[in-house]
Amino acid sequence: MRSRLAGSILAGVAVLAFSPVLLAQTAPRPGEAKAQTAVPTPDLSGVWMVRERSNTFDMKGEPPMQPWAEAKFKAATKEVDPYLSCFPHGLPRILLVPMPLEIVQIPGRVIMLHEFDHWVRQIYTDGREHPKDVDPTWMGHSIGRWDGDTLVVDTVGLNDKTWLDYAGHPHSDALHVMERIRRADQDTLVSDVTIDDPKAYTKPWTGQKVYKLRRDWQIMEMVLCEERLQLGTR
Amino acid sequence: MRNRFIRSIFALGAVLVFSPVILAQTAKPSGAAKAQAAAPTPDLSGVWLGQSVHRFFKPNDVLPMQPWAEEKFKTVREGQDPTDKGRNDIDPALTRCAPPGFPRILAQPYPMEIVQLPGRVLMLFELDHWVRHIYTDGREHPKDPDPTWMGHSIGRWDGDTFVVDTIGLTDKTWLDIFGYPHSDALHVVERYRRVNHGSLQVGLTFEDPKAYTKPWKGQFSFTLRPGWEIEEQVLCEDRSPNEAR
Repeated sequence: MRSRLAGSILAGVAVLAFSPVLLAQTAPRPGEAKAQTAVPTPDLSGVWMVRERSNTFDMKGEPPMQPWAEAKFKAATKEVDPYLSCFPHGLPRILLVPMPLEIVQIPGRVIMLHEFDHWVRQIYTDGREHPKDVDPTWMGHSIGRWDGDTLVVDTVGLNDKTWLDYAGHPHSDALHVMERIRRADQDTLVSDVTIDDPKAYTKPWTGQKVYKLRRDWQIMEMVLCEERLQLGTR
Repeated sequence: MRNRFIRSIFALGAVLVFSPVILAQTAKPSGAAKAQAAAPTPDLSGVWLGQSVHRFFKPNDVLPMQPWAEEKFKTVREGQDPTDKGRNDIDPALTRCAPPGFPRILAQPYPMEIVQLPGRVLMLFELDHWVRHIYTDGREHPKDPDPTWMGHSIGRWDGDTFVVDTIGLTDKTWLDIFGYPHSDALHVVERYRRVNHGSLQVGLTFEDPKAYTKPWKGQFSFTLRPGWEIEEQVLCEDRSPNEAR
């Protein structure tokens, strides 16, 4: 996060340089204008930062947990946070991290570049399905589609080594995360997150997270547990 | 690397979808064609895999090291055959799960994807989900950059060649798996050229007056992997948390 201010001056140039290309990407080629009547893809690109820190997604009430999950949640103290073992946050917890995340839109894909531990999330928007039997990973397998002005992202294939959030809500490998991400105004990104995990919860539940655009910010280098790595590095 | 084959079937779809957009990116809007006489930006995008021998230099190349660097390198090579990597027991990437950093990350047995954005080229490395941002918007390096594992990179196009200039690198890494040392004064210039559709070659110039007596050169090459995608890989994931510390 250091040097954010100094970097911001340079970044202004990058933002300006960006604009013409977005136009070029959505502009139909000559002759195609009539054939291609679909609305242009909404633009979510930019560097975003959580509007406020929170332990979990903003929601009404407590998620309806299965008994084992409730017991695990009660025992979820700071001392047993997987983060202390330098485990990745994984999805969806990484969405709550108070560090910037950049959204990059390229054909067939939306890429989320998280500053936190330089994580990259690939969201395929080329119409593919999830793989049939996906190996669990920290970020899972994400596919997306546009529903009007909203990017709808569907994620499965998440390992059960992570917490859902900073509060310590547990989940199983049956976790299915749905996000509806839209630009409420030029500077505001709103994501409605639905958590569906029948092994851990008695019914799906939803929460929300709001992000603000940081026009002149760039993703900088941040390495998880770097201060530990430095100890005794030869 | 698992499921590479299965996923490649899905990936083909992505590649097909990709193609028209690359055209759209370089296609000039009508009317602007004459005003904009510059050659179209070369396309290096795609998933690339580095050559199987993970070295920039030949085994018998003698690099012009400063005495302290030579001493350090001697220790790293102790008991190793010239074709072996540096000693595992003092390799920071193995003993501390430290990031390989740049330029070592270029020469690894994992794919790397190049994504070209306006004003920027991204290198997405499968290895520990590292990202390299190469700014092509004409900016300069910061005056006094804090050293990082990937450094600060700026790039420009020289005809069909992508020229990348990197400084601001931490001295905690090895230059490559063979264990060449370097200081935080390391300055690397890479010249990437797509010699044919499936091959990307890079010539590297290294300059590090604190560790070497003069600049020296190396080279490396990548092969296009159509249908591949960058998958999730986490450094030291297979180790227990305590070991990872």
